[in-house]
Amino acid sequence: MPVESPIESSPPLALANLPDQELPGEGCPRRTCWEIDLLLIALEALDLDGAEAMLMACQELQLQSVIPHRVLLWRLRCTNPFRRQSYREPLSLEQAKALVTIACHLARRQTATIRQLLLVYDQLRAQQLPPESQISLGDYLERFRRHFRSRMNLKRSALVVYATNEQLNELALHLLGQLLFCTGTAGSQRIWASLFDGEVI
Amino acid sequence: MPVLRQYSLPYCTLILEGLTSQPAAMDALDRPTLDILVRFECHLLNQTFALRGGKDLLEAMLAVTGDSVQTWLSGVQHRHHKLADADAAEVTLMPVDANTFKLTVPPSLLLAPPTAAEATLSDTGALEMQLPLVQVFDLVEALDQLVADRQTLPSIEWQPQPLSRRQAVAGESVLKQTGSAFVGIGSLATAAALLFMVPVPPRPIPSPTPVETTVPGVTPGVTPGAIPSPIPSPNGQNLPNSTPTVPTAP
Repeated sequence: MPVESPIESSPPLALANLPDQELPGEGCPRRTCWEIDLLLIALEALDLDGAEAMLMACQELQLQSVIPHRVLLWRLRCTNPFRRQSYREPLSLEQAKALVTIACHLARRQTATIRQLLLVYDQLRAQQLPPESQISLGDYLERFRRHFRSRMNLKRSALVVYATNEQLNELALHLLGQLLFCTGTAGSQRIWASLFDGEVI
Repeated sequence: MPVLRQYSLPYCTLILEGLTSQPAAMDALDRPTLDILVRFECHLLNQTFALRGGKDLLEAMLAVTGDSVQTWLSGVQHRHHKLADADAAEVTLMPVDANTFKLTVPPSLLLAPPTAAEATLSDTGALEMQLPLVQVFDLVEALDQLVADRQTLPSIEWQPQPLSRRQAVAGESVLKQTGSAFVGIGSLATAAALLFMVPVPPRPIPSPTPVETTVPGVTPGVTPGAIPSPIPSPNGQNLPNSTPTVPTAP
């Protein structure tokens, strides 16, 4: 006679290489939510279909148990406290791991583009030309600025430092570098650890 | 028989030469494990001098690239690195600007230290190299591939760990941290200054109260010869010069 025993739901395999962090409060810190959202915005600025690609990545990585549909994906990104529509519910560690894994998965697809943009930026700096001088890099920066301004609550005093195009360009280029490190062999672990620097007990 | 390993990326190539502890009588197709490192080389594209050293150099490169890249990613610096002066005997990797890093390698870790004609040297004789961000990534990635290869120096393990609250120094400058407080205090001070300039409304001068004197035949409070004004009755009847009161519902 078969014995029915409850099968414990195991966490998705794609999240296994990201260790749990010992945090003081419930959920992820504000800085972690902010930086994860920025990485995803940078990916959307790189790829016009970035939002749909995130949902496809959920299925490819078998993360539907954590992020089953687009509404929840949007709500998780809205845990960023600086969004116009921000939700106070905490971002759990498992949800944060899923978002980071998705970001690294999509960044690896864009490895060639990311490297090319950074090399172009180096060349432009050496020639003392603005980053918008090159079409691809200018498009990325323009899309990032548009996404940032449409989604963030610019009245927050902490976002005053991103008031001008130059300041947002600097942020966009730094995020491009972060995405480059996401593409590495230990990229997801590096990014994951950096998100909790100064936050763990 | 020496064992060679090579990890190649576009801007960085690592070459390891060492010995294996496995017995010689093994299948020729098996990949021997490199257990003992004899020589470590790091070739960086567009750099005039290749780094050649031993296990000390490799371990120093692993440690510094891990910490420096994590600091660059998070903006949070290790308190130990903040307080201690740069040790001339340590490998350092410091960001120079948004997309450039400076790698410094002390001559004590190099098999053949360079001369001033071969490479850029610091005041302490350490080798200095300016590396673009993409090259730093290639260096880090090559080292990560080395660590991930369990048949190359399996004793070397590295796992990134976040800095704890006690270890970390806030990455933001004091100005950024207190910026919002300054904005608030400044706006309060501005509002107080503006309100200070608003003239104070004049204080109404109370009318002098009449002095009550007892005069025979005159009612106190009534001017002699004046017609007394009617006093409204308590029951609310309309009276001249009185406002009718509307009874409220119970």
